[in-house]
Parts: sequence; C-alpha cells; structure tokens
Amino acid sequence: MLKRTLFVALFLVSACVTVNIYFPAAAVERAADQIVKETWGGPGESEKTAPQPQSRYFDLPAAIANLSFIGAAHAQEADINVSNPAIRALKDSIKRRSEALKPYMDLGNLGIAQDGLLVIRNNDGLSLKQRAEIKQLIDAENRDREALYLEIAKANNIPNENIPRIKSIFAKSWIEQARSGWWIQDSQGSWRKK
Amino acid sequence: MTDPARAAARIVGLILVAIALLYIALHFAFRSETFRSWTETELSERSGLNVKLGTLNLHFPFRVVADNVGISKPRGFSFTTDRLSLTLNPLDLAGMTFHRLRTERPILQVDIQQLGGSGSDTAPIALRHLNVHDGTVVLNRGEEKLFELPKIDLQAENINLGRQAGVTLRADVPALNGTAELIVKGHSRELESTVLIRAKKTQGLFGGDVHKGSSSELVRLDARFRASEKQAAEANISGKFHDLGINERKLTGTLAARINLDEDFHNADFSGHATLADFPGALTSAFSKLPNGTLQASFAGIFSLPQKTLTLKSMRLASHLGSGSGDGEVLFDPQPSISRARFAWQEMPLENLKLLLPTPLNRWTYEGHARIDGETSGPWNALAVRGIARSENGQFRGAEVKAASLKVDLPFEWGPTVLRIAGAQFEAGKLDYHGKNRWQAAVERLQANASFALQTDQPLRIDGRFQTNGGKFNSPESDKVGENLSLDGSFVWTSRPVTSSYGFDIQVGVDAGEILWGKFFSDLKAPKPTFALDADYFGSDDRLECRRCAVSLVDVGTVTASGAIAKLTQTPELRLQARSTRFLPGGFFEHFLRDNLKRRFPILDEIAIGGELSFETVLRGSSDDLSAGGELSLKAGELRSRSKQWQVGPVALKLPFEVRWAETKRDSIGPAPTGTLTIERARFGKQSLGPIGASISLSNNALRFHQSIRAALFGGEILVGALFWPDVITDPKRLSFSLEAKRLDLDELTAALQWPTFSGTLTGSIPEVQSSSDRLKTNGQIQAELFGGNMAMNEFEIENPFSPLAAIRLDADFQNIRLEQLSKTFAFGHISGTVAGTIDDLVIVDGQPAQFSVELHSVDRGGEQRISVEALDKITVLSSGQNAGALYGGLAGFFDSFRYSKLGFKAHLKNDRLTLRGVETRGEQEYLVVGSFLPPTVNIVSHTQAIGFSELMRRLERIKSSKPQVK
Repeated sequence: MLKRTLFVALFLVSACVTVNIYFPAAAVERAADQIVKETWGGPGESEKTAPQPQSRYFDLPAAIANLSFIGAAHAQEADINVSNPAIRALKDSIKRRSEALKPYMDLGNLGIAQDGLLVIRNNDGLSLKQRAEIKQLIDAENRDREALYLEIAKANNIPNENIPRIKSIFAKSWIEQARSGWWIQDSQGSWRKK
Repeated sequence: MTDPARAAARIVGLILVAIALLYIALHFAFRSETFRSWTETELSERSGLNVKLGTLNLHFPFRVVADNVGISKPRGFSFTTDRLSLTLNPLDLAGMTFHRLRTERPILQVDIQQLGGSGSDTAPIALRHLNVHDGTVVLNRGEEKLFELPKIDLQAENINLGRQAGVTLRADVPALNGTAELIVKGHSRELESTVLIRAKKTQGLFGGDVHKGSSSELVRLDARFRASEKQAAEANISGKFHDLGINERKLTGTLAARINLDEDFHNADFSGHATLADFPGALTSAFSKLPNGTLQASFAGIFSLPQKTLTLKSMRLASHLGSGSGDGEVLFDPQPSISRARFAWQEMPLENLKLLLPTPLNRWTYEGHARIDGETSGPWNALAVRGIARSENGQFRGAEVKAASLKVDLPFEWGPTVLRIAGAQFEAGKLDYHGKNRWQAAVERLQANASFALQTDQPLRIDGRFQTNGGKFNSPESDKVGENLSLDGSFVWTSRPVTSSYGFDIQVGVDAGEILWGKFFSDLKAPKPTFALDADYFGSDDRLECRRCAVSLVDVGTVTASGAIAKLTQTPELRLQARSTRFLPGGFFEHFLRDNLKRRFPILDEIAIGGELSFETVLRGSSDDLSAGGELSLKAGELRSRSKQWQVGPVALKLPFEVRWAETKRDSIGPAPTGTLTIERARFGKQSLGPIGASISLSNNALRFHQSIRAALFGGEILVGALFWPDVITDPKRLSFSLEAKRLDLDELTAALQWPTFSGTLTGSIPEVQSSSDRLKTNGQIQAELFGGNMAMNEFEIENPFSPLAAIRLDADFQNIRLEQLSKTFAFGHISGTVAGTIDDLVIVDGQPAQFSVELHSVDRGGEQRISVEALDKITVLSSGQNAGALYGGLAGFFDSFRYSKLGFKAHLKNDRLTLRGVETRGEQEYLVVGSFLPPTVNIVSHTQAIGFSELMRRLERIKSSKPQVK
C-alpha cells in the first residue's frame, strides 16, 4: 500500500511538468528569413499553406513516453505565426516599396544599418527630388519594419521588451539576404560593400 | 628865464613860425594851377615821359597827392591812376628815395615790343613802400592787347628802379595764410627771379613773433628769364613746395619747367616735370584711406597769352596706384577753369582700392586692376569729373566669401557736392559663401546694376537690380537645400546714419529652382514665388519695421504683412499684421503637399481641394510664445476625390480665431466669438446631403462646433454633436463628439459600401467619441434592425485611426435574426429559423478580420426548422473543404430540404487560424447541424477544428461561385 501510494505520488509529481516558453529565437529566425525573402529577396516561397484540416486526437502513449522525470521541460519550438491581416498588409507594403528602393541600394545611396533599418549613406548623383523621394521611402520602410516587428510580437504573445530581439534577428536576415554590392554596416559600425 | 634862453626861444619860435608860414605857402602853392602845370612840365622834361596831373595837393606833413595821373611813353607804356599818393621823408630825399607810393586803380599798359629796348636813362629812384590797390596790368603788342591782369592788390617794399636795380615785392597771401616775396634781379633781357611764400608768423601780444626763427618756406620758385634781341624768350623754372595749403590740403612736391615764348609773345610752349608727395591723400580727403606714395608727372603744352588759355597737350602720370595720361584746356579768364580735359588711369590695384570700400568689403583680398577713363571741366575750385571706372578680371576672397571673377563698370559723375553713380554694372562669377554657422550658398553668376548719389549730409540711397543663375544653398545638416535657383529682383537701399537705420525695398522673384526642406520638395518653376520686403532696420535697438512684406505664389496667392520685429538677430519678437485677400488652398496643396505627403497618407493622392481663403491676423510674441488672432474666411471651398466618387462643397466659412503656440495655454477670457460653417452640398456615390450649417469658434486653440451637424443620409439622419478639439494646434488628433444615427436604411448603406445589400435599419447613439493620437474610443451603442432581428454594437474603437493599419474593434450581439433572410441575402441556400449570438473582440485590419470570437446558435421558436440541400452542401464545404458529393447526391434525389433541431457554431479567429466548434459536442464530434427527431433529418458533424485563414477564404470563394450540387 505504501509502495503504491509512493509510486502514485511519484508519478503525480513527475507528471507535474513545467513547460518554459523561451523566446522562440529559432522560429523568429525562420520567419525573418522567409519574410525577407518574400519581400526583398528573389522569387520567394508562396505563403505558407494553412494546415490541412485534421481531426483532433490525443496520442496518450506518446505523451506518456515523452514525460520526463526532470521537473522542467522545454516545449519544442513550433513556427511562430506571421500571418494576419496586419502582417500581410505590412509585408505587401514592404514588397511594393522594395522595387522603388532597390535602385538606390544598387547605387550605394542607401545602406542597411546594423539594426536592419535603411539609412541614407550619401546623396551622390541624386537630384533634390530624388533625395526627397528616398527620404520619404526609407521613412516609410523603416516605419513598416518597426511595425512588422511589433505585430509579430503581438501575434505571438511575445512581450514588448523582446521586440529588440526580433529586430536584431530581422537585421541579420536583411543583411544576409542583401544583394552583392549593397552597402551594409557591421556590428562595429563600419560600412562595407557586400 | 635868462636872457640867452629867452633869446634862443625867441629865435626858435621865429623859425617855427617861418616854417609854418612856408608850409602854408607850399600848401597853397601845390593847389595852384600854376604849380601844377609847372610840375607836369618839369617831370616830363626830366623823365622824358608824358606826365599829366589832374589835381595836386600837399597833405600834412609830407604827402603829395595827385588825382587823375597819367604817365606815358609813346609806343612804350602808359600809366594812369585815379589817385597817386607820394609820402616823402625829408631825410631820404637826398638819396632819391621816396618813403611810400600809393596808387589807387592804376592801369599800367606795357608794349612788350618796347620792353628790353635800349630805352632812355632812368632816374635811380627808390621806393621804400609801394601800395597798389585794384590795379590792372595790360600787355600790348603794338595795338594788340595780349594780356590783361586785373584786380591787382600789391604791397611791396624797397623797390629800386633803374637798369641794374633789383625788385623785392612782398605781399600777404591770405589764401595761403602766408606772405609772398618776389625778388627780381637783372636787366630786362636777363632776369632772375625768386618767388618765396612763407607761412605767416603768429604775432605776439606786443607785436613780437611768437615763434622765433625764420618761418617755414611753403613755396620756392626760381626762374631765369632770357630774351635775346630778335629771338624768342625762354624761361626755366624750378621750385619746390612744402605743406602748401590749398583747399584744406597740404601739398609737397617739386616742379621743373621750361617755357619758350614765341617772338610775338603770343604763345608760350612749356614742358616740365613735377612730383607730388603723399599722393593721393594730399589731393583729397576722399582718398585718405589709400596708401600714399609719390606721384610723378610730366607735361607739355601751350599757353596762349591773348586767350589766356593753357592747352595741355600731354600729361603722363605714374604712381604706386597705377599710371595715367591726359590732355585738356584751362582758361584763366575770368578765373581759372578747365574747359575740357580728358584723362585715363590704368593698372590701379584693386587690393589698394579696397580701402575705400565699407566694412567688410575692405577686409577681403582682391586680385586684378581697375581703370578709369574720364573727363573733367569747370572752375578750379568746383571741378566736375565724369567718367567710368572698370575692372575686367578681378577676383576677391574673404573669410566667408569668394568670387572667381569680378567685372565692374562704374560710370560716375563727381562734382563739388555730390558723387553720382548711374547704372553701375557688376558681374561676379562662381560666387561662394561659407558662413561661420556652416550654411553655404553659391551662384554661378550674379549680375547687378546700381545707381546712387553720395552727398554730404544726405542719406545714401542705392537703387539697383540683380539677377542670379545657378544659385544653390545648403544648411549645416544638408537637410535644407536649394539648387538651380534663378532669381531676379530689384532693390532700393537707403542708409540713414543720423538715425542709425537702413531702409530697403527689395523685390525678388524666383524664376526657377528646386528646394528640399527636410522631407518636403518643391520645384519652384510652377509656383514662381516672389518676395517683397519694404522695411527699415534700426541697428540701435535691433528692430525691423516692415511697411510691406509679401510672399506671392502663382496659383496660390499673396500673403502680406506689416508691423515690427524686435530683437531681430537674437530672439525675434513679432508684432505683425498679416493678411491675404485671395489664398488658394488647392494651389498650395498641389504645389507643396500632395507629392510630399502621399506616401505617408495615400489618400492625399486621391483628393483635390478647391476654394478661396482670405484672412487677416495679428501675430504677437516670440517663437516660444506666439499668438495669432484674426478672422479667416473661405468661399467656394471644396474637397473631393479626383475620381469624383465623392465631393464636399461648396463650403463657406467665416471664423474669428485666436490661437497660440506656447508651452502653456492661457486661461480663456470671456466667451469665444463665433463664426459660421456652411456646407452647401456633400455627395458620396449616389448619396447627397446638405445644406449643413453650424456655428463654430476657435479660441485659445479650442475649436468647437456650437451646434450639432445634422445630415439626412441613407434615408435617415446622422447627427454629430458637441464636436470639439481642445487644442487643435498642438494636438489636432485629439477631439471628441457625439454621434447619433436615426433609422439609416441598410439597403442604401450596404449598396453605398458595395457590400451585399440587405434590408434593415441602423439606429444608434454614441454619447461620446474621443479621439487621441493613437485611438478613437466610444461609449454607447448602435442598434441595427436587420434580417428581421436586431444587432447591438458596443465597445467600438479604432486603433491608430490615422494610420494605414487602422484597426477597428467592436463587440456585438444579435437577436432574432431570421435565417430565411440571411441565407437568401448571402446566397447560402435556404435555411429557416431564427438565430442569436455574439461577436466578441472583432478586429478588422486593412478591411479583413484579424480576430473575433463568434457564437451563433439557433433559437427554437417552436416552428419547423428546415435546411436546404444547397445550404447543407455549403456548410460542408465551409467546414471540410469538400462537397458532400455522393452522400447528398443519393439522398438529395428524394429531398430538397431536411429538418433540423438546432444549428450553430463557435468560431475563433486569431493569427489567420480559425478554430471552428459546433453548436453541440458529443464526445469527439462537433455538430454544426443537429437533425430533428422527425425525418427527413440530417446532422452535420465537423471533424475540422482548425482552418487556416487563406483556406477559409478559398472555401468562401468556392461557396460564392458554386451552383447547387443537388436538385
């Protein structure tokens, strides 16, 4: 009796699993790479298809098998959600604007700063009208990028204090997927051509 | 008294009486005609001259006075005088010396042909003092008068007449504050003379000289005159002058000249050389700032005795300020004057001339030279000079400014009292300005012309025009830039030293150019702004008084201002009246706002603005506390979409206003004055409304509508009340109002919104809507009667209402919705029955639902509830993505519809994932439709709980386009 009680108690204790949800960095990275590719990259993947409707079921043996006697467990990182009307609208806006910005990136007038936002490097060869245009373009682009990070955080219940991390991950993607010849800023603040 | 003394006294008395009697006798004798005639004869015989005396008198003690005296020698000379007074000193008579000879209005005519002749012997008479008053000397040649020198006043001393005698003449020269001494030695064929002019000694109280020693020599001229028989005479002159004061200037220099007289003594050729020290400051104070040096001059010309004319054939000048040349003619009758003279001065270093310019021009560095060509004429003490000063290839450079090329043409007229410049032309190329505040400006070319007159005690006024090409400017951060600017303008600038003020009247037009101001770009070719500034600046208190300052833009209008700005160069304080009688907001929008803001606010690219504004306002205060009050009027105002889908207008506005830009608001004083807003008409699609009117006020930054705005719309009425902006200046996004809708017809409303039309009415009341920068919140409820039931909407909010990502939030619940109407409206087959439910946390972003939680369930009213096969199929497609297909196909052949006991669902959408649950859950099964007990009956069970949003859209599209699969 005592043994059974102890076994049950032990089972119950070990079944109290604490699942810690850390910042889903890997998922944000995947999402960032995909979004950057869709908006600024080459022919990107089509929008992720929605999961096919499936009946819901609960695999009890698998669940029991996955139980660990260690008190804490880490939830496996699923993909984060990057699809809702706000995020779609922002992606569309960024994608539409990218065609207007790319020529200035090719000319070297614009560059990608280390925080992933666009900056004006110089006005060489630009008329005043073009200077006004790129100022408006990068203001709008940076505004959309910041809003995108905020919407991703909201959609995935990521606390606001983690938005800088999202921004940092996206910065890495923007820079990695920049075209050869574009100017990028490294972590020391120096500019170089990719 | 002793006898001898008495006797001596008696003898002296007798002698004195005898002398007295003798003097009396002489006095009467002199006055007698006999004595006069005898005297004439004696003098004539002894001198060999003809002597005539009008009257003769003896004045006490020893002065002989003769009136109307004439002394002449045929073909020699003649001397006449109104009065000749000869004072004798008995002690000098033995030496043939007269004490004083005074003559009034004497005229001496000399035949120069007889000068130097062998002549008769002359008596060795000497004069201690000679006084001539208003005398005239005439040189003749036979019967021909060669030269006349009138108005001679002379005091001379110690004059010796005779063949080898010398002459020393002394005279005061008041004009030079000195005394002149003429020493002539030699005989008539060879004379040496020296002219000395010395500064006058200051006399002491008792007549002695204050300054001991000899007074300074101002002028010393040594001349040697030689006249051989039957040959032309010649003279050599050399001299120097030191601090010779002429017209308040002091001249120092040398002179060497040679004069050749022709045989007829008509003309004298001269040539020579002169130097002048301290040139040009010695000549005129106007050039006192220039560096001084020595001027070398060489000259040649002719002097004509009969015409008293000096013709300067050539003159060459050389100095450190360049070199010059000239020629001209000087007349000496009645006074010295230049009848004509031409001069040219070249190679004048601009670097030296800069000292004549005002600050800061005189601190710049100049390269290049100037040239002056001109002519002069007029009396010697009032010359008029006309000419033109030119510089072709100048350059200048200062601490902040430089020009690669400078060309100047400066026509001038310089008179005794005025220096006049008319039509001066300036052209500067590649003019650059780099300010200490790091603003930069440049022009490719600047052309200007100017005219002014510089007069003593008169304010300086400069009129001119200017034109620039290729202008540009750059702010320190390069966020304010102008390029390709072409300006054209005029200016009048007046300097008033008495009041320490400057006046200017400037008109500038911009013919072309581009401006980038932050993010705002404007091509100025179309609006062609012009600026006018008619103002005075008072330097003593740093105040600008603006009489008329205006800005005009083509297709926009003109804004004028007048008033004062204090502390102009520090923290400006305004006290201005500004007004415009015709300001076109549409033009302003097109030129400056649309293209600059349409990326941020895409709707701006779709609208057009019309109307005509006028306003009058008073601006007071400084940049951190500025108030404006006045009245604003708008007529024929219009706001419409460019596609003409909607239009608001004509709009009329009359609005007294009082606004302030300051850290803190001022408390309101008294009721705010009100104006009126009238919208004649507004059209949205096929809906028209109007007229709409309201009284409004704008006071202390608060904009308030004092009346509700009532509009008949969609068959009902919308009432907007208590529309209020607490601070429309600093926080224009914050406003509040109440909204009431009365029985809006949903047929019209849904048609206008291009939704599937359905009938019903919309009524609601939102007592308060409050808007801030990122949110518009309401409290209240809107009721809609639709589909036979009613829906109540609450908690209506809009997040980021002015952003492209505005999010609409609301909750709603609905009751008694008739499924027949609903299913028919949305072409969902045919379903009978009634449903009720709730929509919670509905969020619509970019026109799409972003999230919601919906619960819908049928309500049993006791009647039969049926659902058609078509509806069943569509529900199946919606929940599973597939048609019912063969299952219905078999049964549908028998039935058109099926009974059901209840239907409904719960749906939750978030992040594009829709979770669908049934109206009833049995075990693992979610029932969307629960069949009735009585057949034919059907159950629809959903095995799909999670649907992606895109998949959901696909299914909805499929439902819309599908035809009924079964009969």
